[in-house]
Amino acid sequence: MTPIAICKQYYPGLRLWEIPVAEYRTAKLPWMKKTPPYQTEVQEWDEEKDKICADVTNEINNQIAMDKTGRMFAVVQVCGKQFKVTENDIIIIEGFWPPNIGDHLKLEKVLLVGSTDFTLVGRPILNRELASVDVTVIEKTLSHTKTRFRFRKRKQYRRINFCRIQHTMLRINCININGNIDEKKEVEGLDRVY
Amino acid sequence: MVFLSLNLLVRARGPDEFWRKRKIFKLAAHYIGRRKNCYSITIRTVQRALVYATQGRHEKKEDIRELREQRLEAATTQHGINFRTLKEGLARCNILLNRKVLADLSIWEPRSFKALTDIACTRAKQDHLKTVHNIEVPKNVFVRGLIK
Amino acid sequence: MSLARRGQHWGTFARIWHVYDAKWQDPYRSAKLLKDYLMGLYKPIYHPLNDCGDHVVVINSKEIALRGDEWRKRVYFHHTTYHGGATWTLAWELHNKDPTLIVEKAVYSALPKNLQRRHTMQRLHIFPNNKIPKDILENISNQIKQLRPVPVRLDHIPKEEVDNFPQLLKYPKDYVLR
Repeated sequence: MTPIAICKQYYPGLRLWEIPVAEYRTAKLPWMKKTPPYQTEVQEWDEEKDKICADVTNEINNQIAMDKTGRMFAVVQVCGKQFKVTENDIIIIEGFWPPNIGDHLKLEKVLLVGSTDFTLVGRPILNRELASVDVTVIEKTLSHTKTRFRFRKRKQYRRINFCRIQHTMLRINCININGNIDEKKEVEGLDRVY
Repeated sequence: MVFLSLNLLVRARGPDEFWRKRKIFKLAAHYIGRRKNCYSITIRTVQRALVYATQGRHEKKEDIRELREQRLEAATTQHGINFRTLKEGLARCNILLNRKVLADLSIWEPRSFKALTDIACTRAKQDHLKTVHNIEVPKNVFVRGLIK
Repeated sequence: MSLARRGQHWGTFARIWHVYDAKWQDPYRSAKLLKDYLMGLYKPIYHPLNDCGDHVVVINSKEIALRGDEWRKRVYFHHTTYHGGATWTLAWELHNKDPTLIVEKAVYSALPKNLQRRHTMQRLHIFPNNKIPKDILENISNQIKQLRPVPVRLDHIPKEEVDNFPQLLKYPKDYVLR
């Protein structure tokens, strides 16, 4: 007598050599989605899109070269604060800031430049050779007096301090975009040799 | 201690009472009724006002932040996403515009803002965020591979 | 300011008239939606001090739908300030008396509780059916999307269509339907 038959006789419920294992369903019903093979190349970039991108870039480059962009705006970060500026704006920088009156500065942390027809978004900032903002320091003053008064009732505690923080006024002279937006120079920073 | 004249014996009690009070009354010039005229009431009111002014400088910052979020929520719902998705999507794209600038852009530069929401939406869709589960990817965003 | 810019400025702050069909909608959930339009919360230029709220015209307020058994359980309280002047009105009773009142109270309670509330309520116009006066109708330029689609009732579907609908199973002839 074979051992299988013996086991079947004694333990009809226990079949240890044929343990059922859950498997993937291989047969698919007609309405089910077909499983793709393990590696597929999803074609999401075609010539049509390529052409649209090239056209848009060319159009923007043309506008910049022909100086037809109109009045541009930019978002610059100065002293940890972001400002949305256009030409001839005045912005106030609060707190201690070394530049003096009459200094011509070039702000290079430009996060975003926009015009009527296009917007360049930096990740997080635009290339500093591509976009920059020229400003002049026109005034350095102090703010109005701020009173800091601390008071605890019934505790005989009162302190008064007065403070004025420095204000620096900046006049935005112009917003520059230099060169084509899709080109990247091989060597950067040649203009700033200290 | 030797005092040669008697009037030096009197201890000076700080500034003159009139001038001391006048400093407080000047701050209360625009108050109404006894708050303006009676010193004991004036000093109470002025001190309370100064405390409020000090606190208000901090509260103003919170209020402005709240208002900007409210405005951005309104601006983003126009484009079908919410503010959290916008912020998350932009941060993942490494676009670090703050609330102030985003709120300004949504009012003054609506088309640039629309572009930013599209970018955020596409990124959120690529990263399979739950909030954009039911939203189509904007068709005007061209991405070579993944936004990285 | 150029003329075009002036027009743009005027258009930005002009009041828009929205229409909202309250048929089969929950008034208390719709109130949260209408609140945004009444206060101007849906605009990026919103500020609590600039008066940018819009007008909302609610139609078909007679056909609102309350959730669950709220018609029987929701109670509206009113007190005349005299002794024994308290009254409790059930939702269905109130709705029978004035079909616009439930929507109005729902929106009123959804608005923030400040001095502006009664002025904001002036911009809400509720009509029990879909007949809008002509002077209001000609202002309307936008429709607010309903919270949920209005389901079609079986007795509103034409009888032919119901009869021709493919039947899944047929009862045996001797089957007693109860």
